Amino acid sequence: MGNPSPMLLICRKDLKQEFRTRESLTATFFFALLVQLIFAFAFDFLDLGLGFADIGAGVIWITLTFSALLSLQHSFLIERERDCLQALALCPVDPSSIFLGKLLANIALVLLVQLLILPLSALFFGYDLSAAAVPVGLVVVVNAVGFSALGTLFAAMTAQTRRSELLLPLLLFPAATPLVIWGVKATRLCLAGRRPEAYGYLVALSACFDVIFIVVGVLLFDYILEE
Amino acid sequence: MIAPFRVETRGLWRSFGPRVALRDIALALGGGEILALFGPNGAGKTTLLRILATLLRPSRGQVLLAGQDLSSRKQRMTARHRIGFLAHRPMLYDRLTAYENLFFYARMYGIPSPRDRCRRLLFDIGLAGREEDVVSDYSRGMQQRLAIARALIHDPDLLLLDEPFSGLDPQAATFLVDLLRSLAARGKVVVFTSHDLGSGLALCHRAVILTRGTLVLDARKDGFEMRDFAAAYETAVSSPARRT
Amino acid sequence: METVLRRLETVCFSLVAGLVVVCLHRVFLGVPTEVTMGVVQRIFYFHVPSAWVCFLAFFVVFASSILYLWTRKSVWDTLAHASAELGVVFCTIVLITGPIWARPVWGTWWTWEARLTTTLILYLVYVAYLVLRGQTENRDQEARFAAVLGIVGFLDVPIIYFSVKVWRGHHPIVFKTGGGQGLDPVMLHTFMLCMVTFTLLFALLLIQRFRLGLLREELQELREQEQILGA
Repeated sequence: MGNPSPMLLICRKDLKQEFRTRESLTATFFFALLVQLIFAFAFDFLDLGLGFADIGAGVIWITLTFSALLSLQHSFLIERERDCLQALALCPVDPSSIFLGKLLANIALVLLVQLLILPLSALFFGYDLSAAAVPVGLVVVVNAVGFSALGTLFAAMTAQTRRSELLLPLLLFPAATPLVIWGVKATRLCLAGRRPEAYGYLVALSACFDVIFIVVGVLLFDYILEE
Repeated sequence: MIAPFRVETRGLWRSFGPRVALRDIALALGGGEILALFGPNGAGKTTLLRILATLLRPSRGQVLLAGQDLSSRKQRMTARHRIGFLAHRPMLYDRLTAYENLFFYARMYGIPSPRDRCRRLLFDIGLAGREEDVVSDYSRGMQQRLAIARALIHDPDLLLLDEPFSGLDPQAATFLVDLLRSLAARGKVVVFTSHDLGSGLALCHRAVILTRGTLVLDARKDGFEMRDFAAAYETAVSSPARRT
Repeated sequence: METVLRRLETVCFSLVAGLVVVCLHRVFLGVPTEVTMGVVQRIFYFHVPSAWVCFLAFFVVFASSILYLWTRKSVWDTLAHASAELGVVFCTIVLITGPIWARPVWGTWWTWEARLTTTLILYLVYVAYLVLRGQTENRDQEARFAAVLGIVGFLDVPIIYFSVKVWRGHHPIVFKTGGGQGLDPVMLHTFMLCMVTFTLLFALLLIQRFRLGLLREELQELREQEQILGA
């Protein structure tokens, strides 16, 4: 047939929509920036004599978690706007392709903001990211995948319900706790300059989490689409 | 004359626990027929349409499309190539252009030479020249046309429309009526729901009334006068439904 | 089914009534006081069985959710809902009795150790489950979405527990009487008795709540019919 797979079609469509206006990206980026600002006031590093290494991982991860949430919420909002999810359900396409397509787009958008914010936070809080850039980047990527997997599944549900803005974080945050725990710990070890053996297992655990919930998402997405 | 393509439901039920949305619906439609589905709100019209569109699964009974029973997932998936659905909302991506919207769906349906098909369809639907505009810039009437184009992109044999005439200006309504007539002339099956008896009866070949999930009247329009049907509608809607 | 349920309910009720009396007697009067922790340790006989029931309840939610998605019979959804509510109730008991026990023993109301933290997160997951059920657009969607969450939540729980354990330490449990090693037999018996009692209590409440759920569905349907006929 020569047709690209539905999964890629959907992914491209989502990304195209997003880049057309870039409103979600910009909003999320500036939100992340604001969170960093609040942290600067909340933990006055100079006054408290704190080194960034002490709580830096936490700062980064709170920022990342909330900005990821925003990105994910948006992704299904656009479908809801004109009941497009129903139109997708009408297509002769496997629901898992729809899930994976949206997942890929979500991962891309979530990562884009996060990888932009990281160097900025290094700038604001004056820590050296260059040494740990690759490992921290890896941790962020692995966690973005898992967060997006759960988020794509949940957002598909909450976008069709009332009070979706409240419901999505309520569902997502408890479920994504392992990722946050492992992510923060790994980031702290990376920033402290520890060797890969020290944090490698955390990345592996996150990766397992990712795989499990991508599979679960693929299996269950059908039930969210079709009644 | 009934063309070979047929849509049938046999003993169709849709319920959740004690709540019944559709009760023992039996319908048989042949190619070239336009069916009007009337009934008060909450009667189950949309539910029936969505089952025919494979968006919902019946709790009991069968749906047959061209003789194929749609009870398995696989069959429902293949059947979607032949089903088009137009809902209340346009189901369009606001930030994409009209062309991009159609092109996306064309690829999703696996249509050969999608570009040509999209351009052709846009021309037929009267939107040529505006296809590079973003959908959010379209008027309601234009969005409706584009939504119709989306529903027809894969040339379905069964077209289902949920209240397609509501909120349409007379010009757009005429356009739609002509379009549906031409589709039926080509052997397609068209099913639409409506609250407007007058325009609905003018368009259809056949009309049914659904109340509280039950098919209370199935009339071939030729056998009914407009005012008879209107009276029948009033009775059917006001009296309690037969409980079997 | 209604008659079967009612009979089961009566049986459970009689058993539970009897057992509760026996348990209360034993816990407060029959069992010796624990050496290190004192009287407050008796809460253990309520805390641990509650935790067990809580997990049992959420397992029932998991199993019912799968069965619902598989069979599409609404009874499984009603059962899942009933079990989730009970799970949240017993989880609340765990989260209340935990700190009451912790304060005199560990000197602090709360600590972020593995089991408490996991229980808290579990609590949030199932509260979210109940909130989700309230926000859906129709009954059918409610059942499907709740089932999906019921499955995902349950699969996530062991992972959450594991991750919190990696993060923090362990739940200290020490209970002895006198100078001996291991658990005093009287305590053990009482504990097992309480476990059985709580499990039966859960069964009783589940049956009642399940019946209530079924009745609610019927009532809702009848109300809607009446509205339509009246209009």
